[in-house]
Amino acid sequence: MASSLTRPSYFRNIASNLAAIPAWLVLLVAYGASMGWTIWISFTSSRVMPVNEFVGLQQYERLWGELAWTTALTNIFIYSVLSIAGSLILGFLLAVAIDQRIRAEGVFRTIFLYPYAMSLIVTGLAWKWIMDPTLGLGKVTRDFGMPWLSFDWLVKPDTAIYVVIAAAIWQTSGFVMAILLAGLRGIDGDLMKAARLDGIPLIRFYLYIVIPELRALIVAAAVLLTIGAAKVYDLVVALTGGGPGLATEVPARFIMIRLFLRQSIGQAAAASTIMLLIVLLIALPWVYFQYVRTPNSRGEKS
Amino acid sequence: MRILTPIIISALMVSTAYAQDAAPEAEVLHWFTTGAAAAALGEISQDYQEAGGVWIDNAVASGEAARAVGFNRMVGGQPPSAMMLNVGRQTDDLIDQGLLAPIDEAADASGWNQNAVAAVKEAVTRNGHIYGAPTNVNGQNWLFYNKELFERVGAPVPDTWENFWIALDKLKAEGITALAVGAQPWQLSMMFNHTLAGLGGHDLYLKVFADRDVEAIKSPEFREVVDAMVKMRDYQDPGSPNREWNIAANMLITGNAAIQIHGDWSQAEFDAADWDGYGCLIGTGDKSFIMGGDMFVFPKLSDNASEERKLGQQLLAQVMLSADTQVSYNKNKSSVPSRTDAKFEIVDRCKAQALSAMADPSLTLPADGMLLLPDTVGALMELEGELWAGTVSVDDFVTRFANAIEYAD
Repeated sequence: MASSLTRPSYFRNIASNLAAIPAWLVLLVAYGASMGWTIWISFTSSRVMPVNEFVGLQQYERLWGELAWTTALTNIFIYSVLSIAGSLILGFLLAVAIDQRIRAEGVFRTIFLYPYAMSLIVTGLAWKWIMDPTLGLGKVTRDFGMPWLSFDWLVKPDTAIYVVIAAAIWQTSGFVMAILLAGLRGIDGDLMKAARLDGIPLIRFYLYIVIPELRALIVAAAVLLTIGAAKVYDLVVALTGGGPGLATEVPARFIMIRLFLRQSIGQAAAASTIMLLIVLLIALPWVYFQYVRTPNSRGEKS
Repeated sequence: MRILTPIIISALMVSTAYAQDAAPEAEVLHWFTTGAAAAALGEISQDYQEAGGVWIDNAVASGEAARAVGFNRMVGGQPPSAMMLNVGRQTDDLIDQGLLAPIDEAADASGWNQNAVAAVKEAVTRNGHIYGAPTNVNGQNWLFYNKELFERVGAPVPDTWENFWIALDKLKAEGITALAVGAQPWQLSMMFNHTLAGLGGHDLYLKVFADRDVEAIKSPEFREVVDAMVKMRDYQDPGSPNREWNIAANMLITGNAAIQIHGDWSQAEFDAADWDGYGCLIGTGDKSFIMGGDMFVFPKLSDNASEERKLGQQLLAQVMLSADTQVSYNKNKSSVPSRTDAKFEIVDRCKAQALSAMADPSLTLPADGMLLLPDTVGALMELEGELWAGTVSVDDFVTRFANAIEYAD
């Protein structure tokens, strides 16, 4: 009895620790070493080929002077906040709607989840054609004699980003719906009956009872959405190509263009490093509160 | 004796096997995977095989992807024998790092050295050595117009800027989309350069891109060019943002728009659609011809590369630069050979204009990519995209343009 308490924990499960070694190697070599190399390149004068000529913070100075970069950061922030919030809210409403034990539930679930099966390139192209003033909705309203109802949000610099956000919400809200529907089904049916007996209005029931119950699932959905939002690239490329002008430029596209088209690997590496820092800045406090802090009063750890 | 015979026979077989392996071979990395371009490249492949070489094809679907693969392989030490690039300064870093093999002997042997178009030869020469084999010269400042629409509204041929604006106004008055624009930065950049060369003139173009003269950029003539570009925005249709170039070319074919200012590959679209109702002009105003092109570079093979590869590389360069191959390559595309002595039998009215412009050095201009690094070209493209979208004022445009040129490498 006493010996198992003093034995170090990693010898207790030698087999499983050994089995985890390939995963550790992938983590350290593929992720860690390549991240380290990229950070190193951001301090060099690399253009089309990586060279080891150290130039200090020159690439970063140039980066922060680029209007495209500062615009990309602003855009990704607006895009992330609005598309994640929109997907969560719409996904939750769809899940609640389907949870009402409607008749053709399977059909509706499929319809709402369908966009998630499409690649973002296809979504981008479809929305591009629909929102094209000469081809899509704009043409339909003109042909029907309603030219005052114009859909030119995609071609105006001020509103193009909102079309991208709408396409993203359309794509991912079905996915959020699927996750939250599973959670809703797990809620005890008696809670609903008890609430109705007490005369609690439906909205308050959902807001103050259901949502806290679904907290873990909402957080999981939010994490997945955030990962997708931070690296959005194919949707922007297909839908707007970053335009009009710089209106929908995003960091991932900024980096890809400098990596390949403009032969400035140093700039791309600097921008990638900044993105890594931003993500760490947001993720680390969350990781701390979830995993490192002592368990809360309910005895849960996460 | 019984043992000796099999030994002698196997020795003979082994020695002949070695002799058969001496055929020069080349692995060619390119992005011409579709239609006319692939057919054109097939001509080079055929000529190479007729000259005794073995062609190993390595096609990658997009230009950027192909270049990325090529650069990575060069860094990794396993380069292809030949890699496709655009004529220009995409090769600067590679040459500085000593990664490309010069092809001076092949250029001499094929007669290209003596007959090359001057600006193109200058673009591929560094430190006195030739590093690229240009397969064609394409024009980047063509103005194509739908003749039927022009006749319908009575618009004059837009060969001067006064006629250009008159034509645009007449078309707009009749409710016709005057300009078919694909508002992607690279296309807008070509339209801007067309205006700079045509309205600003041959000398202003060179002052801006070759001499990097900041005073020229801040001059009233340059500002006039920017104002003209801004004014052209009023003659497009609302669906222009992010439109592909071939969709814009198609607008001319279907009669939905009247003018496209683009490169000569639009003409290939018209020809492929069997549409003959287009007029073509090199530039408007100043008749200078802005030339770009495709070329192949030859990475230095590693020391333990086979003899076949080394022979194959030089043979390939020679084949690509020979007059006959240049003619057969270009007859499928709407571009022209990079050497002045390569003769076509049939020349359409547009190619005739190109050939006569190229014969006069005072009428040719190198494309911006030949004079500036891809980084600078990309920065200018971005700026021209912002100008077209209306998110930057003319003053800010001029300032940032001057900055980009001044601090270009």
